[in-house]
Amino acid sequence: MTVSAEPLPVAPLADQGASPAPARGNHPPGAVRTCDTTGLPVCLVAERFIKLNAVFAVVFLLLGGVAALLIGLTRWPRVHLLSAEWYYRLLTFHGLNMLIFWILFMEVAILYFACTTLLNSRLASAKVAWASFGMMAVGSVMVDVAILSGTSDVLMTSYAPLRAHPSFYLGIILVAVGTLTAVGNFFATLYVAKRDRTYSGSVPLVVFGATAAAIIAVVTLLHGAIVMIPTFLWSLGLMGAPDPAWYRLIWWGLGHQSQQVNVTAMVSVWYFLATLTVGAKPLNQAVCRGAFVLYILFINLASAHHLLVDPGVGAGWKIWNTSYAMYLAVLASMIHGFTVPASVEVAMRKKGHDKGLFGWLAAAPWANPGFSAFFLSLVIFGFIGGITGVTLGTEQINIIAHNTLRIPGHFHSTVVGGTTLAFMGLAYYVVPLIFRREYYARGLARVQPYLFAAGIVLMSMGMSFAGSYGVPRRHWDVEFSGAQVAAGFDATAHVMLGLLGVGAVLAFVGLLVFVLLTVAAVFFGKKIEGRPMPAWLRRRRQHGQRKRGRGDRPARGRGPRRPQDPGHLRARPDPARNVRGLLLRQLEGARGRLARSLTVTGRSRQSRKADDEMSTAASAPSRATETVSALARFFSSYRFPTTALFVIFLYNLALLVSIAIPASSGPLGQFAEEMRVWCFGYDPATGSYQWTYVLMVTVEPIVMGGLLVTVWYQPLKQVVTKTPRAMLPYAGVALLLVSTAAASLFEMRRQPGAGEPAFPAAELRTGLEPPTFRLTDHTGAEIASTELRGRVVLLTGVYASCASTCPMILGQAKRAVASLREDQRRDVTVVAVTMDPERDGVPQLAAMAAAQSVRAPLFRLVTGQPGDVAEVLDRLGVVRRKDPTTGIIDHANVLALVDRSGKLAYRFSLGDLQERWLADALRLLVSEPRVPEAT
Amino acid sequence: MSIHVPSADWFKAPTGAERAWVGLALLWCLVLTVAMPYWHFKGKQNSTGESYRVEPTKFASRVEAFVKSNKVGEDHGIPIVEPSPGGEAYLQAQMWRWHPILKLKKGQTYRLHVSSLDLQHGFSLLPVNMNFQVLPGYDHVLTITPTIAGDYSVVCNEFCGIGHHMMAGKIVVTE
Repeated sequence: MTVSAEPLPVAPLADQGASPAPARGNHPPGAVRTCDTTGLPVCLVAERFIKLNAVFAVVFLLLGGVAALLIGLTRWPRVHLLSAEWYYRLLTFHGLNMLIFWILFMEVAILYFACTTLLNSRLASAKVAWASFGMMAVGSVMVDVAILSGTSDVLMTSYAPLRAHPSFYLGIILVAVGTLTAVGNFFATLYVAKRDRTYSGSVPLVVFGATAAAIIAVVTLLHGAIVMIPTFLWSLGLMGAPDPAWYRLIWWGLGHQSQQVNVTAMVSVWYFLATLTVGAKPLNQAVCRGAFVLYILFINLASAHHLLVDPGVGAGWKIWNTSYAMYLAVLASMIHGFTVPASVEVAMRKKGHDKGLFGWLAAAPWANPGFSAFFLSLVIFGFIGGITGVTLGTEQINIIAHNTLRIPGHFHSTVVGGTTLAFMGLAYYVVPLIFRREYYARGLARVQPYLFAAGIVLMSMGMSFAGSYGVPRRHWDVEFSGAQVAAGFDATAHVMLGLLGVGAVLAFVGLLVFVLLTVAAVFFGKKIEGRPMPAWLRRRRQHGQRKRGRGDRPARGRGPRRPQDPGHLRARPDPARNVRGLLLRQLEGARGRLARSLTVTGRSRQSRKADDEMSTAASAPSRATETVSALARFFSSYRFPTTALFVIFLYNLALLVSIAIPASSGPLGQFAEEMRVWCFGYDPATGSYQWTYVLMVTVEPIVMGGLLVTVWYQPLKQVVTKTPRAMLPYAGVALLLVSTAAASLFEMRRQPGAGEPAFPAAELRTGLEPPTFRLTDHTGAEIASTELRGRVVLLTGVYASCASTCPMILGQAKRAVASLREDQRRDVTVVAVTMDPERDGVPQLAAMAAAQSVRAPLFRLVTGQPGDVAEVLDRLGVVRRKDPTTGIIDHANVLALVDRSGKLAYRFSLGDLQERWLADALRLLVSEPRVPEAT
Repeated sequence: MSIHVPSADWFKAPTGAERAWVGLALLWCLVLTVAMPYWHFKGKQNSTGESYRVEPTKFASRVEAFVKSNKVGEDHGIPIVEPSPGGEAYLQAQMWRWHPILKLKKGQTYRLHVSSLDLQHGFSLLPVNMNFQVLPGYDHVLTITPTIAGDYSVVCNEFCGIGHHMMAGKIVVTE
């Protein structure tokens, strides 16, 4: 068993076979140094700003961390540390310092690093970098002062009309503009490097990822400007309050996307740390880069999942954005979640750690905090953050998760367990390589990522489970003390909140260790100029290996070097031994003595023999592996893309055809009409389409098709040129799929309400007394309730000048009555009582009847003395209120049915389901026998 | 290496396990893409997003009219209001109370109008844990059918100032 040394890349800037001409930098003399460890060029101007931004980042991390501890201890019900006032104040403070300042400063440092060192270029402008840093520093301090002075307890989201002090908004705007300036500097440097040909060919993957992050940052910060500038002006009293729904929509363009900047930067850091710690190399650059492009394209739309239970945006908008855009962004994360660990695996196997399925993982440098932080970040982000994120972004689950603690449970495992932890891992390289200082207490540093990760996982779990009991986020007291009405949660929720508290404390300790170690190293660490950074792993002699000095050439190719084995992923599985090995490696830490002794003594001859037998047995192909390889064949060959491409083609074709079929051509035409309304936002009345819908619906499949062609280019090309006939069966499958889908849609349409609750005739029936009346109808004839005895009467309230719901009420009544047979209709009377008797006389009602094309005797629009009318409406429960200035009446929409015996049988409202039930109820009542007149 | 300029022919379609993974992931994403809208229509558990703009003062007067005509009692000084089955019900959020207490009948469908008079609030129905955003200026109409009788709490889960944690209300569902 060997312990892998960490390879640091000392290779030239290009991979072998890349640029024919050696690249040269564009640095002015004396403005560059060569890294003693990696051999990479470091632009000294950029280095200064990397240091400045990183130091500020860590300061904000500490500030946010202290706040985190205090609010964590407040949510722990047993401790309940802070007052309500300070809880919300520090929650605001925590959110901004952690989610905005720590991460943005760190990201600016990463951008400066990526565009200079990795491209061998100078930073485009030191002045701009100063300006950017100045704005960000001033802005963030302004925000912190505004919060701590108690004038801006609005939480990070500052949802209007909650109002903060103007300096709070101005500070945020400054930070955003400052960051945007830094991003501009980054793009300018990319340009300068390209112009000066400091490299040739494509930019390295990490730079590509950083560029993706920068592009998303621009879109994000523009949203920030759009929402924050009016809000700032409003806080100064210069503008009206922003619309709350508009604020949320645009704010989340900032709030969610900024998290995607984090994700993208974090993934770049993963690739970077995988290279630094184990010498990993991306398997396929096109896939990794393509996944970054997916982030850029779709992440903005996915912000919609924050509004899944909001009023003001319709269900179609919510479903569209979350079901389509979100999953394509998720796809990108799933790709990175595969390619990053796979690249580590390949690198480790190449080094000879080739035992079993997980031998490479067990042998990974777990004692290197750069590696452990990166890999834990990957696991926490992927398994906890990713899965909870996709779950919570589902429309159905969002109802039971929105604004509960499940939400912070999710994003603490993405932003903290993911991004922050990855950035911590990065710091373990930034400090020795850029600050050129050594860490003290390296043993503690090795433990730190585990400590922090454990705390965050515990806390996230506590939050998520408490949230699943409905415990709200951002809430000072789950006992609701002082509330007029008692409320609270059961004991389990309290236990989970306790778990949250314990996790918060543990994570804070991990964070404090990190900050203290980093600050100590940066300011007081031993200088390491002129020599390579000390390796994180302790080297030791074992198994006759030669002793290696510090800073030796890294161990590329150490161990038995094997030719690259394309089938490495199908290595013989031996889970039992590997899991044991993995656990032991975790236990042993850096020294490995305990584990080695355990493995040696534990693995006696006998068990080794057993192990061998087991692995032989496992190597025989089982049914499960056959299924897996059949699946793999389907997906990696032309078969899957062919099917998918045909599905897309047929889907688009069906949509196009649906435009062409006129609505008048029978049921198929009506179906096409509904397709148009649904898919294209088509308005049958005006014949106009909503072009954004049309664009989205038709362009998406084309984008998908492009994606498919890019990924499966080779097999598709092969099959198209050589054996095009082999595609036919899959085209058939696609045709089958699409036509089944279309047929089932058609079938659904043909049975409206299929699957809806049937009319619960018995449950809804009442036996109340309806109002009695004697009023005048729109023909001038008198109408009395007594005359209507024995008939089925539909009673409702309308008024003549009503422009909105009254026509809908009459329309619903008309359609319901029209669904009856002619002879049944003769027994029905619809009585619509005016809600505006002062204005509605006989002529007004007659005009209304004409306009709505309803005719007596079936329909009677009635009026009378205001007092009489009011009595009828009140008895019916038609709640209404007249606006004295406009004359518009706000009213309830009530359609009541009186049965033949003169009892109030049913009450309905407006709506599709209500309309169907109304028709059912009418049919039922009209088919009941007449009661003999009481004598 | 991911920090080095890639070789000139880096643009290659993925192969082997990587390609299979991309395919599986894409397929899974497509399944999810279809599953969510499908369940919206089939499951019918989601709000249609029905909402209307409304002046907060206007909403308040509608609520008052509703309370006046349907009041059946009082609890801690808060009116208990029983809307007619199948009809409209109103719930008003303001710093820091829910007004009024609603009394609903099990199995009846109501159109529940929720809006705020001041800040944003969060409608959180406990213990069933159903949550909706409440915005001032928007009448959020939720078509609801209570299926289990009992007492439910309505708490606020959107931060609305220092008294946020005291904002609790009640819905009673009777057989």
